[in-house]
Order: sequence, then C-alpha cells, then structure tokens
Amino acid sequence: MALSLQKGGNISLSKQDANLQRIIVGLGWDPRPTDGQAFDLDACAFLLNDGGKVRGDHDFIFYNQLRSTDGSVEHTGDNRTGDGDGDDEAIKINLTQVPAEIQRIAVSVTIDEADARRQNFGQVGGAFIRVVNEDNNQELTRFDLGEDFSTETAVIFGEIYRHGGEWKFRAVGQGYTGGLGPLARNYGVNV
Amino acid sequence: MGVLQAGQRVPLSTLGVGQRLSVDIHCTLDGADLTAFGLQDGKLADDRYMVFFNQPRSPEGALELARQGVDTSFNVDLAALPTSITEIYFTATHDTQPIGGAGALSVKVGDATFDVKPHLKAEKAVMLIRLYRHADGWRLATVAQGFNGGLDALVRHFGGEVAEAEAAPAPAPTVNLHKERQRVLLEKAEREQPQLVSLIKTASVSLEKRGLADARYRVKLVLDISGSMQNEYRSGAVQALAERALALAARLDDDGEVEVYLFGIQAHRSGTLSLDNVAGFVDRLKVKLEGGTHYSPVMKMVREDAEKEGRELPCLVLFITDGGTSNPAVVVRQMTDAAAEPIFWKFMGIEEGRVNFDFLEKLDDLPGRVVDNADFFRVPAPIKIGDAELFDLLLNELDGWQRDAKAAGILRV
Repeated sequence: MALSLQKGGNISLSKQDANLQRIIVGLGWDPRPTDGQAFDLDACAFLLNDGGKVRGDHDFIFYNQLRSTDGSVEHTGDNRTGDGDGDDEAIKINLTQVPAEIQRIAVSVTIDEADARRQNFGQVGGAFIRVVNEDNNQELTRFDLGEDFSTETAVIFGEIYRHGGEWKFRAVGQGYTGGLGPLARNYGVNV
Repeated sequence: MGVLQAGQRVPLSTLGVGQRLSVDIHCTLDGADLTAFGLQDGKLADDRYMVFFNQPRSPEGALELARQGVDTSFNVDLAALPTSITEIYFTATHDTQPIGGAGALSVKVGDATFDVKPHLKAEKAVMLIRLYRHADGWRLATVAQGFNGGLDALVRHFGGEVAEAEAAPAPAPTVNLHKERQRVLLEKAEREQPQLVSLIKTASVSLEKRGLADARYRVKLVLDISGSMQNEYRSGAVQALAERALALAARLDDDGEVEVYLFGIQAHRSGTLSLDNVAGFVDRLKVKLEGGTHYSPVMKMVREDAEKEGRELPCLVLFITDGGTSNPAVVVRQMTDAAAEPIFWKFMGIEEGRVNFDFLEKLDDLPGRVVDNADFFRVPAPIKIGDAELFDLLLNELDGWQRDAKAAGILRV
C-alpha cells in the first residue's frame, strides 16, 4: 500500500523497499476538458549538488536532453496533451548509479507556451507525482497536488534526495510564476 | 483584491465578502444566457440548482437570479446552500454566437473583478468563475474556459454519469435553435399575454423535473363536445385548459402553437391556438355540443394529420373528455395501431358524477402494443387542480414513452 503524502511531507523510499535500485517518477494531470489549446505540460529533472545547484547544464534533464551524462536519470519522452490513464510523463532514475556528489533530484513540470496560450497551473486538474519501483512496478508513494497552485506556470512537484544513506522523497508542490526560465536559473542552469 | 487573472484561486474571505454575496456579470452580448449551476462534485445532481431566467431561484433561495440584462446579478447565500452542493459555476451561453463576441464580459465579486473576454475564442458556452467549498471555507476560482458546442456540451460536461446511469433521453441536437424560439415565445407572452408567463414557467419546471427540458413535440388538443361538457365550457374550464396546453406548447413546440380538434359524434378540425388568438379562443369556437362521445373518428383525424406533418417531431395529444367512448373495440384497435407512431396520447377525464372510464382505466394494460403510448388521469369537475400538479399529470409517463419509443425505433433520436 503506497503512502499518500501531503504537501511538504516526506517518506523514506529505502525503508519502503530495502532492495530498491531503480525507480520511475511518474507525473500526470487531466487533459483539458474544455475546448481550446491542450495543456502541454513538460516534466524535467534537475540533478543538484549539496549547494542546491546543477554541476552544469548537462544536469538539466528535459525533452531536449533526455538522459544525464552518466545515464542514471532518463526522461521517457513528451506527452503533448495529458491523454491516457496513469503517468503522462515519467523520469526513470537508477539510484545506484546516481553520482555521489548529487544530493537531490528535483522533478518539476512546466506548461509549454503558457504565456502565449494564457495557461497556468490553476487551470490544470488532477495533477500528481508518484514514485514506482521499476523492478516490480510497486507504487511507493504518491502526492496529489490538487489545490496547491494558482497562476504559476512552473511547479516543483517533488524531489528525491539522499538522507543518511537512504533515498527519500519529498512532496514539494512549490509553484514558480514566470515558468521554466526563472526555475532553471534558480538551480544554476544557464538559460 | 483588484483584478483577478484566469486560473487564480482565492479564499472568498479575501475579497471582502461574507456568506451572502452577489456575483455581478457584465455581458454586452445580445441574447447571451447567464446560468448558475450548483453542482455536487462536478456533476449536476439536482436540476433545481440550475438557476437561470426560466428558474430564477433554487428551492431554498440560496441561489437566486436577482437581475437580468447587460448587468446580471446572482445573489448567493452560502450558509443556506445544502451541503450536497459543493460548487457553483457561473456560465454564459449563446445559442448561435461565440460568447467572445461580447464587447465586454467581466465578473465582479466583492472588490475583485475578472475580465473574461480576453481568454475567449470560439466558445459558445463559457464557465466564467467557480465558487467551491474548501477545507478552510469557500473559495473562488477564475475559469474563462468553455465549449464551442455551446450549452449542450456544457451540460454534458456537468451531466456525465448521472444522466447516463438513468438512461435519460438525450437532448435533441437542435436544442439551441429550439431554445431561441422558446425565448422569443416567452418574450412575446410577456408583451402580449402576461397572464401566460407564469403558466409557461410552471410548465418548464414540470418538463425539467421529467428530464424533458429539451424535448420537442407538436402539441395537439382534443376537446370533447358531448352535451355533458356544457358546464365546463360555460365555466371557462375548457378555456383554462386550452391556455395550459398553449403554455406547454410554448416550451415543447417550435412554433408554440396548438392544433385544436373537437369531437362528439363527429370529429372537427378547429384551427390553431397561438399566443395571438388565445384570449377568448374557446368562446370564438362557438361550440355546438353533440349528443355522443366517439373517440375513434377524431383519433383517426389526429393520426392522419400527424402523418402528413411528418415524423420529424413527435406529437403530444392532450385528449380531454368527460365520458367513456362508444364502440371501445374500435378505439382499442386505433390505440394498438397508433403505438407504432410517434404520438403520445394523454387522456384527461373530467369526472362529473358517475362516469364510466373503464376503457381509459385499462389503457396502461392494453396488450399487443409495441410501446405503452398512452396515459390517463381523472380530475373531478369542477376542475380545481393547481397548475403545477396539472402539468405534472399532463407530462406523467411522457419521458418513459420517449425512452421506449426511441429504443423501439419509433422516435428518431
């Protein structure tokens, strides 16, 4: 039974499954029910050192850079509409291969062309992030973001982080107005 | 609070309003309908919480259309709303034009305004804002999204499982044009026959209760002119029934007219009742009462006319009589044959003293019919029944017939 987290809550993934090696971070949202341009949401991941910054632009994993240089983090590709059940986009992480200097992996979602399309997360329903053990497809934890944002166009859904030799997950749900640019710059990416 | 953006969610308490508030909508598009939908978890579970010009108040008055026009106001009393209503959507719809064609469209709640117009494209139905229950009190979310398909698409969006589970009849696809005509008829009634306006509204409520708000029928009125009906003609009871038939037609029928037939021994076509001639209509018929009650000739006449008018619209026949028919065997055959036709027969028996309605009483059990195409109810003379009850009785079973007739291929969907 997977544990549902509230905003700000955290859980030890290692304690959920002592043999945990590879995880899938799945992200989902409801497709736009009304007429108009679809919500095209893009997931991305930032590999962060203990200063909370990327080592370089190669630590920013997104639709144009689907794999980290060491192969430990992989984006499975873009879903343009939110159609379909289950995860709309997913990021695979091999925890055993994440370089030692990477302390945290922040998983965020932005709305493509949010300004031009006048879209924001206040209009998106059913958003969630979940962590699944890739080796047995067991859901380890889940965070339904629900009510937590409004006019933001970029949101940090959650983060995977090291804590005393364990891997943990935190439900973040932190929004950024201004979209991907300010968010990425905040992590030290040159955009 | 000032100006709200689309997608914003704010506690109502930050807008300077309390439990009683007003939602003010400024919309300059001519012919736009503003409606408040009280929903239960996204679904319209109770039609009485669809508040609009035709039904301007929810039962307890917690949701009320207080002002209409370019500036429309809804009064909301959140504390008085039943807990089953979890959210309220305020919407603008138009039958033919995109809402974005409005010169201005904005919503004001408390000291906050939300400009909806810049967000619109081709939507003919738009959700403007949403008020919803949240753990720490009611909130407002700005929406400004909608459906190019108009009201139908919006209602489908709100309808979903409830309607499907009950297999409610699907609204006719041409409902929008129909609605436009309904509005014209209502406005005409307001101008020319104001006494009919409340009847039309009462008829609407009965129709909506049966899920027939979008149903379309030709309405035909068949009046008994046997000698025993004299008192009903003299007292004005027949005229009153004619007005109620017309009120139903204003909701059901595109042209809002009622074809009138008289029958005693013979059958007579007696013209068309409309908003233009309803005043004194029955008097002008100069009815000559006849010494007998024969259903069959007039039923034949109605069926022939319905056939000629085509099958595009079904017929609702309101058959008013105060006696049993002679030669019931022929009538049984008529009813059985007519079951394959898109006609629903509603018999109303006026009971003066001891009347033998045996034949009508047995209608429900009449065997050998594809579908049950008739219903009967009786009212004692003189008729004292209230309008709401009368409309409910006149529409009883119509929804069931419509469903069965569709399933049997008698009615085109």
